[in-house]
Amino acid sequence: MKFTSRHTAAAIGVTLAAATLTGCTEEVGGGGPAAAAGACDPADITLVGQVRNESNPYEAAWLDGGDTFAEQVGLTQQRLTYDGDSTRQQEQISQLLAGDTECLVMNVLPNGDSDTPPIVEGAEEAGAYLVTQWNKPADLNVTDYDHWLSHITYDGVESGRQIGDALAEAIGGSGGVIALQGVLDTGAAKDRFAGFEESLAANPEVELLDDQTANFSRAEALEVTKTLLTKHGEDIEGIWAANDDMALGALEALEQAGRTDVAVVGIDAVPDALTAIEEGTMTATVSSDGPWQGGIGLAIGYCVATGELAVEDIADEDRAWFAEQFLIDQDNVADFVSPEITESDFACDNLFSRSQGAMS
Amino acid sequence: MSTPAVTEPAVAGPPVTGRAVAGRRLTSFMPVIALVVLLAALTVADPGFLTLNSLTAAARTSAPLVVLAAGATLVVLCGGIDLSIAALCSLATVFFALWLPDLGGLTTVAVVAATAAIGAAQGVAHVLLRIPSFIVTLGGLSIFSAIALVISDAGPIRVVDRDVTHWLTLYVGGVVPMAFVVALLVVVVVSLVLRSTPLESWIRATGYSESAARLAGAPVDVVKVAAFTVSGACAGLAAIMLVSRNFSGSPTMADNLLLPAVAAIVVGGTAITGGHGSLWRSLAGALVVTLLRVGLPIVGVPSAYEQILYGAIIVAAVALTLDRSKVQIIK
Repeated sequence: MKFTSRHTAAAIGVTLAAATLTGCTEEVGGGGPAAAAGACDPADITLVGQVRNESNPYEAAWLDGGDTFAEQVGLTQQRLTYDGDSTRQQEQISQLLAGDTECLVMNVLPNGDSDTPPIVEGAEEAGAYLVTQWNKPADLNVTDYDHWLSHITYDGVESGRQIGDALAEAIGGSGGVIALQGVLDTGAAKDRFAGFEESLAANPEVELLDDQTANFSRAEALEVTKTLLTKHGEDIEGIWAANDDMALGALEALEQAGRTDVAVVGIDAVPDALTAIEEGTMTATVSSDGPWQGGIGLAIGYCVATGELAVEDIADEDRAWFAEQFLIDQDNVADFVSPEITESDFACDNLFSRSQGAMS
Repeated sequence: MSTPAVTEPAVAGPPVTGRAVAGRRLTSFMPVIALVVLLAALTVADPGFLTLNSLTAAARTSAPLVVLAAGATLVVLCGGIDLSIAALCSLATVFFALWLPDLGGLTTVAVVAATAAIGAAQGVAHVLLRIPSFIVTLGGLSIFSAIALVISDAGPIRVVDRDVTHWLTLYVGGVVPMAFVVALLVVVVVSLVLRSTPLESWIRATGYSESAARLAGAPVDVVKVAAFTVSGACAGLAAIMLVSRNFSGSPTMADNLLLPAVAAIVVGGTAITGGHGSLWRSLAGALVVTLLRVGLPIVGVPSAYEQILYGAIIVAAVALTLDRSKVQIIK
C-alpha cells in the first residue's frame, strides 16, 4: 500500500487549504433576504450588463449604452458575455449572485426563453434587482416577483408590418415580392412574418411570390435568394427578410445576379445594414436601439435600488412591456449610424416613456 | 483474488532517492497547488471573490463538470478518449425532461441507466469492431446531438415539476451544495472500487501498454467496456445536475462542456496517452477549469482577454501538473 501515505498527505493538504480558505472568509450579503428596496447608497450599487457576445455589433452597442448610463451616475458597469451558451450564462449568474447582492443591479439578455426562470429565481432569492429583455416564457409573470423589476421586449408583429409597408412603398405599391423567414420555431420569426402578412393584406397590389426560411442566416439567405431569383426572375421587385443578416445575404445574391432594381428590407439595424441603407442598396430596417436597451435596464434597477422608485409603484403594464422601435430608411439613417443617448431617457420619472403597451 | 503482476514502468527506473520521493510528492500535489494559486490570483484581482458564498457557488457550478470529467478519466486512463460525454449529457437532459411526466421519481434512475447503456454500446463498438475510441465517440457525439435535436423539436423543454431534482439543490450543513457532494461521492466511490479491486492495475496496465496487459492476462476488453459504461452513466448524472439548476432540458445544454471536461482531465495531470492519472486529479482539474470559467469574468477580466488568459493558464497548469517521470511519450 505505497499509496496510502501519499494520499493521506494529499487529503490533509486539501483539508488544510480548505480550512485556511474558510478561515479568512466572511459571509458577505447574498443568500439572506434582501434589504428593503431603496436602501442603497448610489455609490454602493453594482451595475452588471450581460449579453451573448461582444463580437455582435448590436450587443456590443448594448453594453456601451450600459457604460454610458453608468458614467452618468458616476459608476462603472461590469460587462459580462456568455458566448451564446446557456449553461455558461447560468454559471456566471450564479457566481455573480454569490457575491454582494444587496445593491446589485442586473440588465440581462437571457439566451432563450427557458433560461429566464433560473435567472429570475436566483435574483429573487439573492435580493438582486433584475431587468430582462427579449426572452421569457409566456406563462412566467413578472408581477409574481419583487426583484424581477421589468421585462422589456419588442413587438415583432409591429416591426414585420413596418418594413412590409416600407417595402410596398418602395416598389410603388404593387409588384411581386419574396419573403425570407427566420428560424420558424422562434417567436420572433413567427411574429415578424405575421406582421408582414398584415402589411400584405393592407397592400393588396403587392403579391407574395414565395416565402422560404433562411434561418436568420446570411449564408442561407444567399442560397435561398439565388434559387428564388432563378425561379421568379424579373417578377421579383422586393425582398422582405425577417432580420438584417438575411437581408444582407439577399443583397449579395442580387449583386451576383446583377440586379439593382430590387428593394430589400430587414430588421435589427446592424451596422452593415445601416451602411447599405446609406448607400441606397437597402431600403429599410427596424432598430430596437441597442444602446438604450443597455442603459434602460440598469436605470430601472438603479432607480429602485436607490429608492427613487418603489417596485409597488411600477404599474403592472410596465412590468412586461413592448418598447418603441424605429423604422430606419434613407431619410433618417444618419441619426442611427452613431446612436446617441439622451440622458433624460434614463431619468427615474421617465423610464417607461418608450412603452408601446403591456405584453399581450 | 489474483492481481496480475503489472507494475508501473517508472518503478523500474533509476533507484529512488530521498529527493526524488519528495519531488514525486510535490508533483502529486501539483493539481491542488495549481488550484490554490489560481484562487489566490483571483482574490488578488478582486478581494471580494474569496467569500464563502462565492466558493459555494463555484462548487455548485463545478459539480456537473466534475462528474463528466471523472467518468471520462476512466476512459483516458485506459488509453482512449470519450468525446461523446457532452453530447450524451445534452441528450440525457432531453430524456429527463421528456420522461419526467411519465416516470416521476424513477426518471433519475432511468436516465442514468439509459446513458450507461449507451456508453456500454460505444465501448462494445470500440472493442468488438476495433475502431479507435476517438472515432467511435466522435460518431457518438454527432449521433447523440442529432437525436437530441430531433426528439426535442430542436428547442429547450421546460421542467415544471421540480420535486424530483429538488434534493440536488439543497445544501449540506447549509454550506456545501448537494450536487457537489454527489460529485465528490462519485469520485470517492469509483476511486475506492478501483483501489480495492484489481481494476486499478488492469486499467493502468491497459493504458500504459495494452499488449503487455493482454499478455499478463488482464481482461482488457471488459475493462474498456466498463470504463465507457461508467463514463456514460456519469454523463447521465451530470445531466440531472444541469436540469436541477436550469429547470429545463435542452439538446445543446451541455455541448460546451466537452472541452472544459477534457481540459479538466489534462489539467489534473492525467496523461492523455493513458495509464498515469487518477479521478482525484480530475476533480482538482475540474475545479481549476470552473474557477477559470466563472472567475475570470466575475473579477472583471474583459471578454477578449478572458479567452487568452484561459488558454495560457490551461497550458501553464498542465506544464505544472503533468508528472513527466510517469509519461515517457508526449504526443
